[in-house]
Amino acid sequence: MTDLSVKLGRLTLKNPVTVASGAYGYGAEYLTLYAPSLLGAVFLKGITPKPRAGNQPPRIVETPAGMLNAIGLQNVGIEGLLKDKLPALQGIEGCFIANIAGESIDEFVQIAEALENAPNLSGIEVNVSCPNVRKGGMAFGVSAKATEAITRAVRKSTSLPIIVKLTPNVTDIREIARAAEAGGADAVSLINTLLGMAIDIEKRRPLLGNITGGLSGPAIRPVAVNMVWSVSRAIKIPVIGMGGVRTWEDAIEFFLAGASAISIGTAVFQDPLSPLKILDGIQKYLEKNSIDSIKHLSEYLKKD
Amino acid sequence: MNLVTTEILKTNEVKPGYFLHDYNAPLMAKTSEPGQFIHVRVAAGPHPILRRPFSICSAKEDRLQILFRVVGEGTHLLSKVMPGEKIDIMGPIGTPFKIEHKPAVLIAGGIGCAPLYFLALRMKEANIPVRFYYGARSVSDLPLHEEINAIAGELNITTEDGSLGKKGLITDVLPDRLTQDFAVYACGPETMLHALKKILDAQGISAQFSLENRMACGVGACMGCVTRTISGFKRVCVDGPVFSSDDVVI
Ligand SMILES: Cc1cc2nc3c(=O)[nH]c(=O)nc-3n(C[C@H](O)[C@H](O)[C@H](O)COP(=O)(O)OP(=O)(O)OC[C@H]3O[C@@H](n4cnc5c(N)ncnc54)[C@H](O)[C@@H]3O)c2cc1C
Ligand SMILES: Cc1cc2nc3c(=O)[nH]c(=O)nc-3n(C[C@H](O)[C@H](O)[C@H](O)COP(=O)(O)O)c2cc1C
Ligand code: FES
Repeated sequence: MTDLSVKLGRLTLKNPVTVASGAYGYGAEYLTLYAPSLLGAVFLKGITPKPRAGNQPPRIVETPAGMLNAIGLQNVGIEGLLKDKLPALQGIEGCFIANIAGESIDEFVQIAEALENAPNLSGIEVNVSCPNVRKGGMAFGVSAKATEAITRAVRKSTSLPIIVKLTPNVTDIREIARAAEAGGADAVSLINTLLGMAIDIEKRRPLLGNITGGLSGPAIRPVAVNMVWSVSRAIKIPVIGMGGVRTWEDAIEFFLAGASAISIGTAVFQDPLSPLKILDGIQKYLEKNSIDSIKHLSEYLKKD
Repeated sequence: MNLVTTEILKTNEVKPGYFLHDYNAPLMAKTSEPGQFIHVRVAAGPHPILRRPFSICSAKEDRLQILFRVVGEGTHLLSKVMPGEKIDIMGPIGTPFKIEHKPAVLIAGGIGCAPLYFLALRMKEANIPVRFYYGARSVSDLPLHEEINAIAGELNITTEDGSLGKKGLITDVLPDRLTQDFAVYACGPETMLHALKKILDAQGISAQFSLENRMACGVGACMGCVTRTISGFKRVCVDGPVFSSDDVVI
């Protein structure tokens, strides 16, 4: 039997295939298609203390093998999550992880504390990497000091496992990853979207209401693989790799680069069933190559 | 909502650049209502990564039909698939038109005729009298006008170049008073809906508008497709595509 389970600090996933925050709503939107319990974990849409209206439309633009988004963290707020969204998952098996975003350390703490006894929640992903909000978001994630302070504060205010989500829009992502590790993160996840822009040449105006957005999808995969590779050799805590994973082959590439688990975002839009197909492909690859545990894949590139 | 990989039964270029596709989709066809759409995968590979939304243009027995205009890469790819090939479709999605049991005025601009054709078919079955108003740039942009003529009690056509029907815009030829005795349904470009909303607002009546927007997930998960309404941003994919003209801000 191939062992597909992975340990992310205090969090154990039954398999390494997860869906990324922002692609899967609040966990219930795809219920008619398949059970979320088949996935290693579901990262819920980013939430803030108060509901947020989000950015002016248009919010998405398709780009070569990818897309730009500038949702601007439209979400129901912590109360909406606790009163409506998490109760809607009652009785549905699965590993659900909240994704939280604040404009200050206090706000991160406030959300983490509110989630402490939330039903149906297995962990917290600390989003210090959203490129589409004016306050907070990526502004924290580009600073090692802020990242460490937020991680430490959230760590103190919750008993849930915490994962810090990193932005690629920095000079040296390893520095930020080390800061998350020092702050007490169970794991880090990367990459969030790359800052991008597209212009309508007929109207001579930006295509996004927010002017700039975050680039995701297969187009960013090589950038993500490189960052996962360099971060996983800079820190000891596990890495959740993402950025353009669309097929099982893509996923294997991330494991070889050092990821313990992978996340799928944009590819879910093309094929909502892709996470299950990817899981199946990983399993077959391991069996075919007589590798008895997914954990071994990260050892191949260690020496390079 | 279902997600299926199914067979393309028929493709037909009804006018240059306008295609009718018939898909074998028994489950979807049974549950589809006018105003709903399907989300279609247009590429097997990594590009284009997003699905394309198309209104359901008719649904009967095992068949689901869409009508689309080739405007860019995705619709170009879709126009090249052949009967017998497989296609990956998801649907039916969205809030449909609410069919009111009084005489109907259907107002279509260009490709906006697709969901209204389906609506007219259902209204015929329900014996609801239909006055159809259909405007486009020219006669070559009026797919289905013969089919619509066959089912609607009355069909009024306008073209911008005068190649068929009255020369001008569809909003110029609407009845002077739409009144509460009619239920009004509309789908078309934003400029048309904008002009129509002005007329409706001035007469103090409301209509059902079917809107379009760029979409990623198509299931209400990504918040990418929102449109402005009087009560804040609403998702076109699941809160719409059909909205009350009183609610939309266009
Ligand atoms: C609910 C709904 C129903 C629709 N029904 C029909 C229909 O019945 N027949 C038809 O021909 N068209 C319909 N459209 C529009 C159709 O989705 C677009 O024409 C199509 O997505 C264009 O793709 P493309 O790759 O050819 O164009 P490109 O311009 O190359 O597309 C680039 C990107 O923009 C998006 N996009 C471009 N135009 C539109 C648009 N008008 N609406 C939404 N997204 C757009 C594309 O999906 C793609 O992500 C509908 C749109 C919506 C939202
Ligand atoms: C529409 C959209 C919304 C997103 N929203 C969030 C979010 O709320 N919080 C977050 O941490 N990341 C968010 N992301 C980033 C993704 O979780 C992921 O890091 C990124 O898209 C790269 O992965 P991908 O190429 O597989 O999509 C969002 C991405 C997209 C495309
Ligand atoms: S397209 Fe994702 S919410 Fe509508």
